Amino acid sequence: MNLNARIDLAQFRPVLPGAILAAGALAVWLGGVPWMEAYYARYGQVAVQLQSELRQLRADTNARRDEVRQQTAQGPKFDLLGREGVLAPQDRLLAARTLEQLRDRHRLAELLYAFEPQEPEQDRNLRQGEMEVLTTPIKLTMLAVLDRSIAELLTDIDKDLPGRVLITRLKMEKVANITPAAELEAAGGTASGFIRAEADLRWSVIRVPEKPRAAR
Amino acid sequence: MALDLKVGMPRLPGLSKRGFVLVVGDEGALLHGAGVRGGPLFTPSFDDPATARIAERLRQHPRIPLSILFDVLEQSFRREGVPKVNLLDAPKVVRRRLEMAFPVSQLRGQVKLAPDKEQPRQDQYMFIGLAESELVNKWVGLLATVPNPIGGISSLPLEAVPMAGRLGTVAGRPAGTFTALVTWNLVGGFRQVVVRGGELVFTRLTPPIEAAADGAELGANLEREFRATLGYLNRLGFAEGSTLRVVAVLPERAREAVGRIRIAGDVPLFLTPAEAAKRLGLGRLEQANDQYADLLHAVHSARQGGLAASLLTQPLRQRQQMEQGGLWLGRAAIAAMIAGVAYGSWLGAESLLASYELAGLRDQVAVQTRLLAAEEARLARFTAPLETVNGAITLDDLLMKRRADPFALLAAMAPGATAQLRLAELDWQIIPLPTPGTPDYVRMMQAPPPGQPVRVNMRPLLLGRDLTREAAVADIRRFEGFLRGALPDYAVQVTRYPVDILPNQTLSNRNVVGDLPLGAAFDAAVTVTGPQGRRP
Repeated sequence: MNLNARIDLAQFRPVLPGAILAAGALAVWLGGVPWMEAYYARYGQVAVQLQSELRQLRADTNARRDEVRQQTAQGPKFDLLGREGVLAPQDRLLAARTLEQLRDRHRLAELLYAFEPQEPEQDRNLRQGEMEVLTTPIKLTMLAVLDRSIAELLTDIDKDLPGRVLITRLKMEKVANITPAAELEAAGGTASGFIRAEADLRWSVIRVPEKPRAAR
Repeated sequence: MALDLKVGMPRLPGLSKRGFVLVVGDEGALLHGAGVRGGPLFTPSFDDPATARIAERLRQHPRIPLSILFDVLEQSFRREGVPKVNLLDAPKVVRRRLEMAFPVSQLRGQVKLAPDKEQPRQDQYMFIGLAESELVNKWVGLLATVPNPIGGISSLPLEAVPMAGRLGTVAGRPAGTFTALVTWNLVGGFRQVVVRGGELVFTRLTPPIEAAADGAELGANLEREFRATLGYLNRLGFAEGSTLRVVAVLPERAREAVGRIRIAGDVPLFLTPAEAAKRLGLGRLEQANDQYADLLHAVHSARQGGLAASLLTQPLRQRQQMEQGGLWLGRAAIAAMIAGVAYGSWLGAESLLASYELAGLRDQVAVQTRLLAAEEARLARFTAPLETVNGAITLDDLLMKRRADPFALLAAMAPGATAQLRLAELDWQIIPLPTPGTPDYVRMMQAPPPGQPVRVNMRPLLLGRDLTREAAVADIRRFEGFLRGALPDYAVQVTRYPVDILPNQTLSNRNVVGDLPLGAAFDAAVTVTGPQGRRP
């Protein structure tokens, strides 16, 4: 091994300008370009975030606008439901008092009522999210002179009871002895008989859960 | 010197559009600088003071490469076949064969030739060796004293092969089998280059004559020298049937004399150096005396873009590689730097545009935020969320759809009653809808009812003083017909007639008709069901 060997640096002189330029290029590519890329990428990231935010804002605004439009259209109907007591809890005492007042108003000889236990409707169609329909079955037994009185009573029950009233059954029959003589007398308007009626009602309201407006 | 050479035309890098070409012969040297101001410089010998001007010119342009074309007598050509080996080993094998061919001279090189069909397992090479005479060494040594990059060292006749081929092709005259180019070079003498099929087969240098020789002398010299040349060519395959196209590049004064001579039965094609340059597309030669062709060779070589062969010694080759490596490194670095700066500039421009875009986006976000806040404020005025509103309305709609008014139906039936037919009992009830998913539900959905279905069971009572069974049955049938007409969507069925007249009943006189003092009384049963859906 020749320990005195020297590397002749002069032979590398032709490469020197190229090497300097290469170092410059390297500096450009390793220094300037990455810095510019990072600079540009930051802008790109912010732009993407802003565009995403803008898209979300537009979507939210459109959704709110649509909601306002629907609320404007449906609001009166919903308010009417509130005024009609469809969305309020059932007040049995008030309902009983209403029936008694109607009995007197329509001069029924007798009105027996029975409010059965309230129950939620089992029909899946009668559920909307956490909302459900609560129903109280009511059985009525009535005695009246005129069948018209019974009809008017039932019509007024539907009007006066808060919520919705569904008549599921109505049975009416003449109580008096039905004989040709009696019937002929009744037809002549000289005699009166009684109409006994039984009615099954379903008194329903909608239970709306107490829930604050969702945070936006 | 009789040679059988084929010259392939692969070009070596080294010469660019700007380049010095030094044509060196036994009688002097001529420097031509392509793309460099100043005409050609001539020196009769290396030791002549004029050589200093050449060196000075070279130093004035230190970045322009210098190539040397030797037009000396002592150069050897040898065609050899080298067994085909793999790409990695091929250079070593060729170098070894070259060293064996020219063991003494360090100025040697090779050119790969076209494949020989008769020797398909061999690559054909032409090896070139330049004798290292004092003259050659001095001029090669010049490369070490000037700063110019090494363009290369080659043989003038080798580099003149394309020129011979192009000048020998004349429109209207059939191409010869052989083409011989003869030029009078100031640095060497008369150089003959014989080409066959575009490949060098023979070259010869004959001594110069008096510079002032007249045309007749030049013509005679040409004719005399070609007699010997034809002798050599005969041994190289020039036989009967072969043709020889001689292109003589000589001074104008020799035109007439050359036109009178015949070589191998053909009149030589005469061109002055200027005419030859024009035909080769080299432009105007910058020389005062249009007698010698040295400059023609130099300009032609410079225009070739590279030398056909490289006869560099190992140190010179290393230096050239270093220079070329540095050159390409520099070019690559400049390209990379330009690309980097351009890319960075593009990024900068894009960033600038992006900043404008960001400002616009921020404005849009602010505007949109205000719009959203306004909509939120409008929404806050409503008492309940939309889902609650919609849900409640949907549920209420369902409840309302299930309602049925018994009195509306009864009112429709009431006109059917008469003084003779009265309703004694009535039982109205809604028919629960089938459970979704059941066969009954599917059947119902095929013809959905227009309203909540109900069933009414009635017990009509028929009264009359003179009521007969027939009249009672007729009256109940009238009532049935009335109901059908009044309630078209309902099914009306008499389930029990006043008298048991149905085919599945028993009619007997044991039946109690009634013990009524005022006539007869009958009762019946009628059922009304509906409304019913209609099938499409």
